[in-house]
Amino acid sequence: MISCGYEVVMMNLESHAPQPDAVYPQFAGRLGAWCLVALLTLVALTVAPSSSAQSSESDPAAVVQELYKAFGENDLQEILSLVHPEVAWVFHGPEHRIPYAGTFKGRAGVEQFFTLIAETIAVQAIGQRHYSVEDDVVSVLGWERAVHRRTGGEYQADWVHVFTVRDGLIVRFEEITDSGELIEAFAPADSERGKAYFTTCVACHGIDGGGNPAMHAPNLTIQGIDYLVRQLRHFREDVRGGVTDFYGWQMNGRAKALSGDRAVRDVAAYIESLPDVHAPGTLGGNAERGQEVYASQCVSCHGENGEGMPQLGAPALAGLQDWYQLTQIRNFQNELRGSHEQDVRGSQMRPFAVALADEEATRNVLAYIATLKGASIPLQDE
Amino acid sequence: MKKDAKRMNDSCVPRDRQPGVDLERRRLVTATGQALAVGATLPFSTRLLAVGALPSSREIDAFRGEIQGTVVLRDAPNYEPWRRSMAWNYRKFGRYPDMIVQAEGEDDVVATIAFAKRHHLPIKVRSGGHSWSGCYMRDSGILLDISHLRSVEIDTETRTAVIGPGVLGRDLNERLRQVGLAFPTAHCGMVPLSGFLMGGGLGLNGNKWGGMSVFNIKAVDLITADGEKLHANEEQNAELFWAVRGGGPGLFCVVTRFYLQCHPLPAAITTDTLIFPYSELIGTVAMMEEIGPAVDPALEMLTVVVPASPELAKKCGAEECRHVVVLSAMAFADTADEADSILAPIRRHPQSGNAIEKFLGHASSLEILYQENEGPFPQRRARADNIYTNEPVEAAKVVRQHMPAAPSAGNTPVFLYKGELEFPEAAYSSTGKCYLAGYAQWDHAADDPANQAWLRDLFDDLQPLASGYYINEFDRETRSDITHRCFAPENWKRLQELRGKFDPEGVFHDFLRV
Repeated sequence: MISCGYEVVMMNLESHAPQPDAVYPQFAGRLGAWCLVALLTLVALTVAPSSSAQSSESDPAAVVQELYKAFGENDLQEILSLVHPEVAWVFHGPEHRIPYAGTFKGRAGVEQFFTLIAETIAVQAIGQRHYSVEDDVVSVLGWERAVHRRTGGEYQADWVHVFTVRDGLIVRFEEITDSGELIEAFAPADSERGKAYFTTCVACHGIDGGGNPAMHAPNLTIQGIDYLVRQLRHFREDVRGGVTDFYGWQMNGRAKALSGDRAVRDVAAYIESLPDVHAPGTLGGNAERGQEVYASQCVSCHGENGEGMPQLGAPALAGLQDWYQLTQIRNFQNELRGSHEQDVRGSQMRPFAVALADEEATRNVLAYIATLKGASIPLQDE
Repeated sequence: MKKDAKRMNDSCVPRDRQPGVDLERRRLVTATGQALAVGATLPFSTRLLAVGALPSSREIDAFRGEIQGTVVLRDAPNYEPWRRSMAWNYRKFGRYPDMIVQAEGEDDVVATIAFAKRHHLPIKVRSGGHSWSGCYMRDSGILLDISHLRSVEIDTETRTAVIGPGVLGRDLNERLRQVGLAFPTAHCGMVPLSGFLMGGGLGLNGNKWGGMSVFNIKAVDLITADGEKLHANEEQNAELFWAVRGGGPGLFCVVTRFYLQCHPLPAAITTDTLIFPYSELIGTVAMMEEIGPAVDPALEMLTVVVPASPELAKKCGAEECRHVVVLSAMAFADTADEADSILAPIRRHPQSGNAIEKFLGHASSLEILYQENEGPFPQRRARADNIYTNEPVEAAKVVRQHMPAAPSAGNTPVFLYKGELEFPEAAYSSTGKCYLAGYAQWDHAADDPANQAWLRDLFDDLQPLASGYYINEFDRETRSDITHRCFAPENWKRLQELRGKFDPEGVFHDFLRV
């Protein structure tokens, strides 16, 4: 028996989270790509020494390596050529909750298994901690981080892959994964559950979610689910906030108190269900001058009516308190927001905040934004 | 008829054949994390009917129809999200009420009391959920959340703020600031006012503003165990008012509105911060005790032990440099000159010469004070315990022995000079020259035992020095057997008598006992 402990982490294999309603090919190769780049690198690094003594024909670890390689290259035919025609391919878990759970038989079954995975999730990162080889059995302990394509739910789950290899072919595969994490991510957002979590939000953002200047808490009602979920995740992962962004610091604690990513989606769904309220402007400023800046700098992402563009990750601005926007612009300028490498959308905003000439220019553009009506007014043809 | 056990004992059926035993077993099973399986096989209404007095699903539906708010049953799929959302503390306490009700107004509270009474489900009220011990989280009855009662009205002429129980300290003080007023909220602005006040309230500028914040309550609107809406102050319903002012987590009515006496906002809040080597802890506490009786009550002196930054550890230079001692002296003054004269006794004291770092005359504000306090106290897993003591130097010696074993950087002792204060007649009655709190904060459940043990050991050793306890930060999960010592003996006795008088049927849970 050979055995090896290590930590190989391949981050951001798929850097862009998929659009929930995007169409995926029957056998989505991207899934293969992640899986294999990661495992392959690892297996190549760690298994190779032992395989040098044996031909891949007789070395189970080398066969597993070949399989991972084929997976990484999106080579379904190669994968199928590495599995025995009578292979049993087992993913443990409740079949009514995880589409690719169950026992798949033969090469047609394996093809179906990979297709179902690709249709269900997109993996963002994968890592392995340990593997062992004993006779014809290769076991790999690892983890994956993935997003459910339909719900947008993110999870990180540990798993074990156990391969049985005979005469150069995989005759049995078993995956035992932390299916509880998967099921949380696969559950659709539920605004009724979100209402429970919103109890915490009320103390600052108010029962109507409209915000409260005395608590430095912005209006949430105008934002879409995507933006709310992204910001809550950022607060949970310390991508946004920190003690120098003081009111963000308060959000770090409260966002982390949510019991998992499912709760993030639930509370965002509840906020989405609240009627929109609009906060009036308070800071003065010259809206006419601000309009020029808005037209040249802001409109392409935040929209003609300040309604925001979810596809660009741009929040709604119309109806958002000007004092909050001022704080955030300063945060972008002072590298308190949008400077973390994982805040991709924030990093897109940062140069625009920096480009605002001065405080007066900022107030002017905020004065113009205060005149915008948001998504409630349809775009006019001009 | 307060407790399930009592109900079962009233029955003639042998105990092991009583349907109610199911309810007990369910709780036991819940504790081992298998609630879902059992709950799924045994509908809530069936179990409730089984013990006779508990409500049927029809009665629960009727109750739902009566109120604007939300009713969540123990076996509802959304129960756990609701339960977890009640608690600020990440520990979430592992206690499971039969039902959670989130009220949307006073009438919902009245209806909930009537329902609870009918079905012998004792109520515990939660307004902000900030209790260190989770006093509102009980293993039976109704958890009544009144955090949505959150109106704020300010009358500048009488300097009165009328607030609902769901209002946080920062919210009130930011609104007051705009009209030149202030209120002694907790030192962290995110602390909700209701529980803070009713447990006594060690507030900002407390020695000047009423001694304890609770004495700034001029009146309350409350709802009794009979569901009656009353106004209470020193003249009107005075017994209930007496109980409200300090009865806090053992109160037997629901306060729905506080009438608070506010104060002119000090125009020149000024802080001196002196950082000492850890070895100067005793000397620093001794200085507070020495100068305390003569200083202006508008001087607040807080001494905290915190982990040393690398730079400070270098400056410290002595043997014990893992921690440093920080003295925060806050002058709630109206002018810079006044602040200087308030702070002078510290500045000229020889102990100040031992500081390795000094930041003097820093212009501050209530918001800045909040931020300075909230930075080191984020939302996480936490416990607190405390004593009042008339022997602060002896207490500092005990702390000094325990700090090196602190398992987390978030384990923070705080000494606050209180002096000899006199209070109006009220349930609140705990005193001591110095308040000494210990806060333990950490992130992972696996570290619960180590942090709990450290805090318990520290305060076990401090017990002989205790002159009293502040119930809001008293570790009721560890020391509930001495909860009575959070009150003067005669005040405790009277509180019990008033409970018997105003809540003879036990509509409200008593103090937490774990």
